[in-house]
Amino acid sequence: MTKRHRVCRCSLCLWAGSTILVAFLWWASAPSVSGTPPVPVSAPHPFPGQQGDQGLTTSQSTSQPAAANSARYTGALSCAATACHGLAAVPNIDSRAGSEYVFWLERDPHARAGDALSSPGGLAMLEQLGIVRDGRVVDARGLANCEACHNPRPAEGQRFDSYTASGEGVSCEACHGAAERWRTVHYRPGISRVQLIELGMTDTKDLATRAKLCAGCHVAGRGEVNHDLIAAGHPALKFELSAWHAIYPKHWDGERERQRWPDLDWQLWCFGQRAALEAVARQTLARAQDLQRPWPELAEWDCYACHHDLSWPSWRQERGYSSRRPGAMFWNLWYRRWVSLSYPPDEQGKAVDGLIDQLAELFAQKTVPDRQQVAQQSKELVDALAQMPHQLPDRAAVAAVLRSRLVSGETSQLPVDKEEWDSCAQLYLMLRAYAGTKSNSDGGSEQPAQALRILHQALAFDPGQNSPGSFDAVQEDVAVRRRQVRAQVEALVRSLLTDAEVSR
Amino acid sequence: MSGRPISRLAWRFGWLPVLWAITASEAMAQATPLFKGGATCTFCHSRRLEDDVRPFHRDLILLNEGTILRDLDKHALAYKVLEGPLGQAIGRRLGWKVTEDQRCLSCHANLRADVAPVENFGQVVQEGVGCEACHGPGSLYELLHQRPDWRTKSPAEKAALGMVDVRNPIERVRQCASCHVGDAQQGKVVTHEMYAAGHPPLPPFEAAAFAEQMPRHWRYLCEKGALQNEAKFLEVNFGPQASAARQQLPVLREVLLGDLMAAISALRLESKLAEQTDGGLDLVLFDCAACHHELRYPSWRQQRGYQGYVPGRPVPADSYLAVVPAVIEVVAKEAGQRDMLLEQWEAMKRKRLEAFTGRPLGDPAGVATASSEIADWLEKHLLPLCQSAGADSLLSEQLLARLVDSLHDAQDYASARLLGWTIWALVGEQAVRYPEAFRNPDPLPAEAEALQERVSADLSLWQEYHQQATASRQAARQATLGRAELDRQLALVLPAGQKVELTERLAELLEVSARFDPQRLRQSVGQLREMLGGSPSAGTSR
Repeated sequence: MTKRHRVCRCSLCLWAGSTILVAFLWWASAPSVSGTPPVPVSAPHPFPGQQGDQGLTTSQSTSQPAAANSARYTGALSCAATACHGLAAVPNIDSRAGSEYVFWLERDPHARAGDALSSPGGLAMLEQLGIVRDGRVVDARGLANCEACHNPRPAEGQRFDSYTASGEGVSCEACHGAAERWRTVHYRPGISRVQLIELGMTDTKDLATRAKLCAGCHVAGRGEVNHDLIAAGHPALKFELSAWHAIYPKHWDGERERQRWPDLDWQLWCFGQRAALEAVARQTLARAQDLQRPWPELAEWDCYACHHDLSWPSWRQERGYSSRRPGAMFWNLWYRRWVSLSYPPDEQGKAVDGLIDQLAELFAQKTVPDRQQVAQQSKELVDALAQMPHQLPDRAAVAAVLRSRLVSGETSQLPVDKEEWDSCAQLYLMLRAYAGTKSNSDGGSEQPAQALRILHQALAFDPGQNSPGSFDAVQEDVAVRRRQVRAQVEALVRSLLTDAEVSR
Repeated sequence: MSGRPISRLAWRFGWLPVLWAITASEAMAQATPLFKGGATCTFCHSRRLEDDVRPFHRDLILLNEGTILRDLDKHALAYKVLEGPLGQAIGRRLGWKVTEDQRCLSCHANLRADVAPVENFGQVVQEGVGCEACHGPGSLYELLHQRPDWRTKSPAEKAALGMVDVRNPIERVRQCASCHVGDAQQGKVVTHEMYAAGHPPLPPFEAAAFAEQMPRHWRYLCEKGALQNEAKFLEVNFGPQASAARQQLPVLREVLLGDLMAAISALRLESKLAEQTDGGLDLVLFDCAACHHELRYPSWRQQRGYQGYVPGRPVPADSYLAVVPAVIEVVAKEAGQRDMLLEQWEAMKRKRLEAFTGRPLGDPAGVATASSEIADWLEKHLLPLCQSAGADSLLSEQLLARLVDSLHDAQDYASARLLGWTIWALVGEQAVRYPEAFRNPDPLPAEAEALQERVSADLSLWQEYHQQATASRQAARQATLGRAELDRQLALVLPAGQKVELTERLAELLEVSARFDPQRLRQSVGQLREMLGGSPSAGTSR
């Protein structure tokens, strides 16, 4: 059979051809995959203001080997070629493949993270904190802390000229890793995930890795949001991965991801909880160890333990303090209250539970907890969490715990309507993740959605407020609102747990 | 026992001379005074309010003090509230038996950590804050003070027997402050733990305004009739200033001396608690509203900024210091001295703020030093100046103007409220015309005789004064603070007296403190200035 080959002469093909040619030449000149020497984890991080092993591209994930820390950053523009990730974004496009850069630039708040620092509000904060005075930076260390998350800028020698020197906000390599070694090879057919990881690309497809990556800024690690910053106007970081993930404008195909993992929300919740607690414990350790940081650090405590208007009669007083000393502050509940449901309740899990309780006890005992004890205790927790395998908890076991803790008549523990706002809100987020997974698998049911809506309303802050206000205050409807929360949680748990799950 | 009156009287009073002899002896004077209980006091001090006070009204006392305390004053209910639902609930949350616990009874009854309990203390305790809580444990002076020569004894002699010199504003407020502010030595400390368990917040204590609302069961010297043994009495009580004593404005002196004394008490308590600390300063030493506020946006705290300290560091409870700059400005007459004192004051305040905010929740050792330094300084430098300042109406006007300036710049609710009370007290006093007749410092013997005659013959003179004074005080406050809405913004009217329960108004009081906004306060202070006569700082003629 004969076939005539016809050469297309249109400009698009010429352009595409030349692009491929250039790409081929790059690839040809790139270092070979197998030739990359391993880089020790403890290598100093190129970004200023970052602490040792908490680097951008370094993951504590056991599934991922040490990343190539000495690789240089190439900048978002080097990803933005039209033939690569810079295709103009098409509205309502199903697959965003090819337009990631444009999508990020136009839709993703990360692209504007750096601008926040130079906005009027950001500048006011910098002045409040004494980082900027009369338009000049007077505290470089303080600014580095802000930029570590808002506008990571690799040091000179750690970046190519293509990296915008004034920073790019949170751009491609902040999450995907310094691209020097993999930029020219990552599209090569047949290149494996393992090879890319070895070249320093972050394995963002692994949910545990993704969770740690997000937690690095949204909880703690790369920078630190302490009470000084919060008082100057920075929002307190109360992060929950599954919920944030759901509203994040994704530059990848989220639907395909959901098809791949029907229990995506639940997985994200579990990995998010664990990554967040680990980040928090590392931060607590750093705060206790680093004598240059303030101690005690007020942000270690629950925000609303103190931040509430004094009222009469007082919901807190009427509820009582159970074993806690009246008026004692307590360790932030947000990241610890329900975390034990995110790992299997085996020996390792129980050990972590115990360590969390011991650390919490240290924070409740004295007004100013002993710094050394906290350092020691948080170190143990960090180590225990780091050694924990990625295994998810058995769903039936989780169901049983939810039932015994949250459905009346079967619990001796603190009923939901007596819990702090942080605890109720995290519970809502957990049930939402559980329900999202559930409705996916059984085609969706109306009841959980309804209950979640009511819960959301009951937990919402009053207008103009950034604290629970009337959720904890005196008005008679507090009791009503809290009873409502309890009833909806119970209804939700009942509807979520199939008979099989409950009876097991 | 016989039913005949004579023998009953003899049985009742026959032992008096014997006891007099014993109590007067040196041996007893050396002994430690103990609480006797108010039952013995009310034996005399219990004339009914509607009774004719004719024989007494031109004397030192009216003998109806016990009645006022028992029937009108909340102090009498201090123990009962421990038995009430709130007291019991607090006890449950703390795990304390509040009706027996020293930490509660030291303020809620006459059972102090530094006075040995008496056998019948169960009964004494039931009286709540009785006479002896302020006048001193009475076991040694109870009988002696009924003798005519008692009045010519000096305050020091009386103090040796346990009686407190409550005529001296400094001593009087020391007593008040021991509970209303706190005193670690006497075991009178309200901790953050107690507040969290439900103890209502202690408002910043302002002696003059509080006494007025209490209501006071005493008259100031310039309200008393001519006294028997007047010259001698004035001399032993007021020393070289005896002749001026009757002319001084008593409320002004209460503000000058009393508020300084409250500040000194607060600083001594702060220092003591900082010394004793184990694992951080008690949170009670910080400004409540520094932490206890909903997180609102926009936030006036962030808009105001954090001058002189790192954002987000809890600041100390400062209200007692709020009156000091105004006081310095009016009592230091020379510009050089004034500037020096103000400079020293600011430096000491900065040091204290640094000790509290240099690290989160403060440095206890630094706080202990800084606050006791300020207390010493106030006692050594400012208190004597206040004592020697002629408390006349010019000084009153000057101080009022300075206090209004301070209120204008107040940044926290507690300070603003304390300043509001001082202004309320001074505005009230300026509206009152004390009976000139009583204020004559040197009546000639003949004139004094005539005056006494006139006053005793015409009781209505006194009653008229009393009613008029009350009405003018109220009218003046209404016309200034009321129209500027200050008393609504600062909740200056206390739930005082027995007619209103504290808990009835607690919700409202806490609501007011939560809504506090310095910006809004400044508007009202602007109005107040206009009413008091003109532009900022007008009326101050330094």
